[in-house]
Amino acid sequence: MDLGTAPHLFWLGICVIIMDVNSMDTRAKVEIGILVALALLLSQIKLLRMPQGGEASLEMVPLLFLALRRGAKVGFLVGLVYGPLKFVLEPVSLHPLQIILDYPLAFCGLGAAGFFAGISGAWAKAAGTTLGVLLRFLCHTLSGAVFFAAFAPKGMNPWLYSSLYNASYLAPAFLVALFLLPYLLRKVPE
Amino acid sequence: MELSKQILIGQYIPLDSWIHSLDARVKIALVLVLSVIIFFVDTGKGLGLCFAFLLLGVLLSRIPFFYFVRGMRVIAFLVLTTALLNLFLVKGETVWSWQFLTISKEGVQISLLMSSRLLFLFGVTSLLTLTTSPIALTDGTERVLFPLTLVGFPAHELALMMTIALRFVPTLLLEAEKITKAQMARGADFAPGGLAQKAKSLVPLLVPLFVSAFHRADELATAMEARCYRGGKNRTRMKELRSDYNDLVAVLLVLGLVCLLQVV
Repeated sequence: MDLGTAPHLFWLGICVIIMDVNSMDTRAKVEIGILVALALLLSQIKLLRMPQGGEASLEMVPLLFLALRRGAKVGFLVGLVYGPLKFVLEPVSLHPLQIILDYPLAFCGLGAAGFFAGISGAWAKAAGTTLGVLLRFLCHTLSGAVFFAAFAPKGMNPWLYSSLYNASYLAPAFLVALFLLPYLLRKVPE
Repeated sequence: MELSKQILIGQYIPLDSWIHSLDARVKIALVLVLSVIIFFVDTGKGLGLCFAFLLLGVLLSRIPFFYFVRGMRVIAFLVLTTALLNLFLVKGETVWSWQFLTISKEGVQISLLMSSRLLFLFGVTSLLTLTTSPIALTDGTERVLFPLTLVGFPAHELALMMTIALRFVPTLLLEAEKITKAQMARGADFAPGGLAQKAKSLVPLLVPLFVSAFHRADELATAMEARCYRGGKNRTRMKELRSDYNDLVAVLLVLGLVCLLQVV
């Protein structure tokens, strides 16, 4: 049970500190709600489907979009709203810690893209997207390792399997987001 | 590309059953308790009791049993992998061997235990989402997280955003369909192809969809502010969540299970 507890507490700490939501205007809160709706909708448009159940979809695009436009605070929050909703709608529960890592935290990770929000230039958007997806990947990989630690026999290398599996569907979704985001950020007016 | 035919958000089945009528907060809390308890169960009798309890839940929820079981196929691959890995890799008293494959008595036991735990965990969560509407779930989550508001956790704001999201999925879906048809009339091609092709073909859908989403956000925010929305403090509700004796019975049933598990 202790595997991954530290990063999970760390993340939750970050979220609570950064999310001074009361100071946020109504418009920002509503934008988060509606873009999460868009992410839920786009999560149903599958780009690729893996045999083990992983799917590459467009769900990350609205989440990263909002993070890159409004900054990390909004980015973390949008992940914190999207993750639990995704769990409510399509739950895959294997371990209490896996649920926390795979849903709220993984999507919060995407919000880190917002650290590059104030910087102009295509490379900043690409760097933000990469950082966000990388953090999401780390959360899923850690969750996979937790799953292995809890259910698989000793002596296996959980990190290798977990990272290969998660990369198999996150890499295509990442490439698509990398291609679409700069274009969307340019075309969709503020 | 008829999106609404492909898309089915959520699993909730609205039926009139005892489980459906329970308070969402109570259901969330009980599912949390059950998913922790299963990690302490390591005997056949205990697992049997847990599954009997789950079966009772499914029967009481009036959800067709086969529908419930079919929902389990999402994790079939994981359960199978877990079972096989444990079956062949756990060392112990050998009961069967062929070439390099050996199965031990301990392997069989652990394999059964681990896959049962997985199925039970997935089963109880499915039962929760099948019998509770997403809106009730977000409402319930807000109340369950209420104690955290004392340390500044924005439970109300999160629940508000989740409710907005759930409310706008069908609206955006209709919008997406309209845009798709309009763009197809202009000659856009949404036919499936490779990954790059697919991503490229989605641009004419995504740009107008994003623009329209931001328009809607703007309108909704103005409407809320015009009605003096100021966050969660002192806000009253149209529908209050109420617990009654049925919820008490549910809590007692789970407590009964915990006590029985201590005995066996």
